[in-house]
Amino acid sequence: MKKLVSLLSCLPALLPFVLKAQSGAPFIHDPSTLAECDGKYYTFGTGGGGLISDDGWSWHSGAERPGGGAAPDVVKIGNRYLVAYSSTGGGLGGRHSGRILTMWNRTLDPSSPDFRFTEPIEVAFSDGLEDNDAIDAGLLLDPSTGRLWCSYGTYFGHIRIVELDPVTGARCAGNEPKDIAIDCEATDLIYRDGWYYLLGTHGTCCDGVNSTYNIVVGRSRNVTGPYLDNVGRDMLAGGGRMVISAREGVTGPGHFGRTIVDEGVELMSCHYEADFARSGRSVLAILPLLWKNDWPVAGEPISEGTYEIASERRGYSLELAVDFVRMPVPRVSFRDAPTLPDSPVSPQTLEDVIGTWPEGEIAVRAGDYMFRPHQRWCITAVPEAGGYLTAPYFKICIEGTDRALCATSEGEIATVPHFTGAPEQLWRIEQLVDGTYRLMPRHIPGTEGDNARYCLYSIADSSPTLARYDFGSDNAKWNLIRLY
Amino acid sequence: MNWRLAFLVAAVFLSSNLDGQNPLISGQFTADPTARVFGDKVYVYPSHDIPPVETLKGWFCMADYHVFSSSDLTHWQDHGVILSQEQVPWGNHEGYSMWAPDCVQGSDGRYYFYFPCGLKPEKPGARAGFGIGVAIGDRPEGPFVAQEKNIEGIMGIDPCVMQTSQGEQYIFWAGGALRGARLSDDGLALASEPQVMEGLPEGFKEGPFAFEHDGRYYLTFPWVLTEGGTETLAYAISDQPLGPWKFQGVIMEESPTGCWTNHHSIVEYKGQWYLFYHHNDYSPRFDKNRSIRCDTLTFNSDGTIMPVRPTYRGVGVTDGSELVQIDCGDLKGGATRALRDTLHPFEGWLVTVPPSASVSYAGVRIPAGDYRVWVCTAGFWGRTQVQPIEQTTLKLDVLPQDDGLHTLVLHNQGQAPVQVDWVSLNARAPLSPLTQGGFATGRYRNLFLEAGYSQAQIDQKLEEVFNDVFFGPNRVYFEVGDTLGYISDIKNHDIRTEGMSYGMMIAVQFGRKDIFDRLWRWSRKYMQMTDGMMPGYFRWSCKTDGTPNAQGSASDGELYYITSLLFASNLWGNETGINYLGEAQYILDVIQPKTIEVKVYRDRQGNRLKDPIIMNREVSLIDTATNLITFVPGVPYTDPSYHLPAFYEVWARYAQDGRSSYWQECARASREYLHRSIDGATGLTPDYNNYDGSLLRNGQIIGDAFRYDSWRVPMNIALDYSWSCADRVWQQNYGHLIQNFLYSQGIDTFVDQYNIDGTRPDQVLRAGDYPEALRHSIGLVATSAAVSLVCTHAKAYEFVDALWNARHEPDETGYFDAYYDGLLRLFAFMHLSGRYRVVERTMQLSQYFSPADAAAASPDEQGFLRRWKLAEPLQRPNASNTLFTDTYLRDMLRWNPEQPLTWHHLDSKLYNVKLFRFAACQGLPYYGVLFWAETVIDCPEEIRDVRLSVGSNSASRWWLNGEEVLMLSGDRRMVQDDAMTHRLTLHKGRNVLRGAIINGPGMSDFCVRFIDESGSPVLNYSIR
Repeated sequence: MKKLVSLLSCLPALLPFVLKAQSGAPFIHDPSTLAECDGKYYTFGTGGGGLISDDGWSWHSGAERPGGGAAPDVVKIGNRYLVAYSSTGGGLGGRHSGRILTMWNRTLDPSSPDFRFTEPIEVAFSDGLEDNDAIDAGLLLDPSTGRLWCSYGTYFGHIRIVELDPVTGARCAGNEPKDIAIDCEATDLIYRDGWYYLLGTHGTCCDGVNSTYNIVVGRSRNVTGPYLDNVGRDMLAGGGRMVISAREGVTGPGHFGRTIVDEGVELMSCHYEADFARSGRSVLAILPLLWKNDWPVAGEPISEGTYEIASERRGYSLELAVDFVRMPVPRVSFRDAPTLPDSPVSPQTLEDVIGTWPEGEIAVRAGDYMFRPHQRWCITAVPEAGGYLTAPYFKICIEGTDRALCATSEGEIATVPHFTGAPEQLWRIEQLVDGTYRLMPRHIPGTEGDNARYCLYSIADSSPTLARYDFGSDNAKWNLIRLY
Repeated sequence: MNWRLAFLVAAVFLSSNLDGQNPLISGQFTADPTARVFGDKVYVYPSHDIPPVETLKGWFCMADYHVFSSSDLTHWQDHGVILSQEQVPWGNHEGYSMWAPDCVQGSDGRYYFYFPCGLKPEKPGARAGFGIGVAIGDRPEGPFVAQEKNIEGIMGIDPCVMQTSQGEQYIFWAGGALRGARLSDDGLALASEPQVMEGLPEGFKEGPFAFEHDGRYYLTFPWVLTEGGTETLAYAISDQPLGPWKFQGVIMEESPTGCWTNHHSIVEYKGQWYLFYHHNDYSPRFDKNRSIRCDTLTFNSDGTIMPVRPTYRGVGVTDGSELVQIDCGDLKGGATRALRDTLHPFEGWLVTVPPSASVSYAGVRIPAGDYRVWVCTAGFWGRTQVQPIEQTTLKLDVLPQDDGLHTLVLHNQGQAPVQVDWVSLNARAPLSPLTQGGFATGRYRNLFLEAGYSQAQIDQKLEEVFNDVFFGPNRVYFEVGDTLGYISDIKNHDIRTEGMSYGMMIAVQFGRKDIFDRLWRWSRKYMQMTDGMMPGYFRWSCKTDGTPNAQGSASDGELYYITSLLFASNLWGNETGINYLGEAQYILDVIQPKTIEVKVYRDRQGNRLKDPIIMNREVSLIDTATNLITFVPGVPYTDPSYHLPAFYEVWARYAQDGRSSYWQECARASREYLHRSIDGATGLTPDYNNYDGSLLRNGQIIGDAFRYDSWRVPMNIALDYSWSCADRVWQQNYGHLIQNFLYSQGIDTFVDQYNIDGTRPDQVLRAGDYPEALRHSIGLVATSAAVSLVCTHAKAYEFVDALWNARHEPDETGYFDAYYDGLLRLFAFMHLSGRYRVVERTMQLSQYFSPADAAAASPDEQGFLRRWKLAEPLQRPNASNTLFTDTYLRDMLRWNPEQPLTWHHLDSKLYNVKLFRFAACQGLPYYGVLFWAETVIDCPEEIRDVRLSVGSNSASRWWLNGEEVLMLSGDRRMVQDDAMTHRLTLHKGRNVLRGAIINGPGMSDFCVRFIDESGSPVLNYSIR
């Protein structure tokens, strides 16, 4: 019976906590690239308006973006925000005479006295007839050149790119649109390490749970293309490598946006056409963005469960610093002739060992992984504690117990016998672009406010501590290996 | 004087008023309203907030005053600027400090306008205190001329003059405290020492408004009741004009919109008292841009004032047959009101009515007779829809009030919230001008249809009117030989670029290439100059044999030639004998500014010179300083009826002359100019005027009055609205203004010549050889009907009916103008039937395909098959590509040799065969259709182990030599090498490849090739 209880204590509460998309009321279609303004996050969607979040995890409506129309994007240039959006003649299924417009604002906070959009100016246009529909703008401020680019278009013909003046937001004089892809929608451009990437949404939108929207990518050494996929196929020939498609419980990811949080910590935002947990409504999702062989791939949101936490440095596993308890199972040599049929060996259980553990604080170290109870960590969301950009804070407890991993005032890590919700017991877990994770305590006792710098760190193979995050070091990285 | 400033001063602002709802004035900011009754009208003198100039960042900014008047408190007329800061001798000309004014009628009958203004500073840029001055005018709407000096003894703001029943006048103002003094009888000086008003409560006070009622004096004023609060309106009473006062309490609580200030006046009109005040409704984030409001005010029997609750409904009766802005009603049960577009707040509000919520709106006059209830709702894309209320989940209760008016209560009985703009009670569909132009939507109103005429009637009428002009017994179109034709101004016995280019515009609108080409050839042969000083321009008048009557051009001819040529290029392409685009581009090039030598034969006094003088003169169709079209190239004035801003947008879009932003700028300038050119009371325009909108005043008969030329202005504005909709609010108000004026002259009797103030002209301009007479000309009947496209008032239908019923035939005196009246009539019929449109570029099949010839074709370098027999599409309506399941495809995409198909044997110019264009370019359906494609592959020898590789949009099914080899099911996009067959053998000789491609809403195409074992394209065969 005790075993059953201990198992239950690790399982999520009665209603499993679903982490497919953002929390709150994140209802939106075609979310613009996330923008930060005075400590809050903003995204704008089709039809006007948009979402605001204090923490990046829980979102609600309230952002203001006039002009209606489809699929806006936003980029911060200097101390101003440039918003691009499109006004259409007839909307979906209507005409294809579109206009891309840009406008500036000094703030995105509608309650600020400075909140005032400039009069929109047209930067691209389609006459309704040509193989292009000038809607669905995506903006790229090229970090390598300072130049500003805008991709636009839908399934109606080609995706095009134009260059804008980053000072005025107007189209550069003499710049002519160039075709860079076919048959996508809601494109976005990003730049990384000498490559330009064109993200496009394929498939069908706006068909609820049956929407087949998916995001594909091609890349080029030149911002104006050609954008080729991983088999060398031009996006003008329909090429594209999958970045994300439907996932369990959510269909139709569309309208990519990339956010760089820190070196090696990147996110992608998109909407899902339908969140099965929320009546099939269209919702905002923020996911880790991984890079595999210089191709972007959507990571998975962290799901609750029991994990081995293994260091990238050595591969040692995070564990309680308690006695290794040998299992009383006699060794049977491979040379011994079996007298009976083989039988399974029961693994060590928590109740086998918990009596040997001290009552109070227990230190933490890393060691050989033996799937013993002191190495099994149950990661559970603590949504009432709020969150950070992507996810809620988590608690990390020894499976079957309330013993929680925490930061100490000495800048080390330890476990406390009972999770209290204290901020040093809450963890921000982020998948890095290489697929490993960084784990940061929300707070380090003795310091001010939330921690955004120190992470779980292998100072030696066996010795975890807290140290400054450094993407260049494997000491800062951990692998979360799901046990169940 | 700088142009911009001059324009600002001269411009006539047409502000929209939302028919008696609050705020009273839209389209501009207004604050601090002082309302006065002069004669039978209420005049409101507000201050005029504008967005702050740089030096006043975040502060109040006011450069001039307007005055508004009304005789029903529902419809307000803006009389334009009555005084601006640079006209105040003692004031700071750059202070933007023209704050709250007042105006009273003096004992001499003149009007005394009291206003505060920052004093002229010692040093430029410094700031001095405020003085209060007087400007005097003969009429309530000005113009007002400021006195040389401000009133001595007053430093302060917010003047208010109280004229007592004893014949005395007192002035009150704010300056540290509320102060007052007796005013001299001439109103120009103080007649007593200023004194601080006693007996008032502590706390900040300003904006005094004093009046007499029932033998007592009332001093009312904005008052900050609580530290850090905003201004309430409070009042005190005294038996003496200057107090001491007895404080009474608050009339209006703090602003619900968070506006820091409030400032007001109180007036009795037709037996009812009203409070005029302001909030910042149209500028919710910046409370220094305010908007005036009005609500009723009631005295208790003891003379105290009942608190006034601000409403959006406001005052005045709303005509139920017009658009009742129910979004200004009382909200109940969770209904909410929000600005339709926060970037353009003057667009007004929408109300969101959740299920079981309601909105009520009182004070509506119900139309006599039967009516339907129409409602305008807004959808997700912001697109509004007007429909009978039965077709929505809404319900409207019409509840009688005691006063004979009605209260409308709108309920939502559905499950989902509905966004509502207005309701209207009308037998006919309410007039609801579009909010986007034809450029954007391709949609044009058929106002005849909306007015209740049947499409068959409309078609017949349009054909009749067209025939009258081109082929009837009184036609003005005459064909010459096999290739030429002209349109003649019969009454003037000539051929004009005006009529010729109009004829071309009509021809291209009706798709009559034959007429268009004849008119163009005649124009080019006889009218377009090939040499001389202005080659490429057109002689504006010729005799019917082609002999020139003039050597100069009239600019509107070029305007219509260029536009109609661009439309012809769009419609017919440029390879049918006339390079329409090339011709248009040539004219666009020659009309650019250039310097020419002109011979001057007379001196300034008009005396003939012995030897002509050679002078250099700059000519251009568009004036270079203002970007406005000239009356005649080189002449320094313009003609309001030559302004068709949307034409420039056509040029920007289609001329491909590298000047698109310049043409856009010309369109903008033209719209601005039109604002300056109309009379604010009548909507009339002069025939000619200066670029700044002022009259020429040169004593010529043609020029300052509204005569033949200007008839076209209402129609031109309707065209600009219908195509571009870039100046919606102003143009709607223009339409109402001019129709109201003509209506006031009698819809069946208005005449065809007026001074622009609406009076009859001293001289009448003759039409051709006919005697001088004022007539009810059908040309003006036509253009005044055309402007109904922009109107919301019900009388717009009467103008439409009037045109419909007007007979174009000789009048009782025998007068008949087949040409000008006839052409304007035809244009108006085209407009009102939705047949006057932007002729858009059409895609030509030749851009994507060429006919297959007899010679065998080869696969392209990448192996794609480009030669196909394509069948015209079969309709298979499907809303989504996700419906193309395997089973669906097996059932629906089956080859049936009996199926009649129309095949086209084509070579695709692209590797991907654009089925969408194949269908669309031939006018065939292209969404929800099934295409069959077939090609014949000739192999010189057997080719083994190849795979057929296909990408298709959307699903497709493929057969080689009758055997199914591939199916791409589901929601497909055209992706090169999306799917391949298993290994196939192409036989020696003839192989038939057949495909069926189906789409839902997508842009259907496919690409097909054969790939060998090494992954390379197969090329060694031919295609037939």
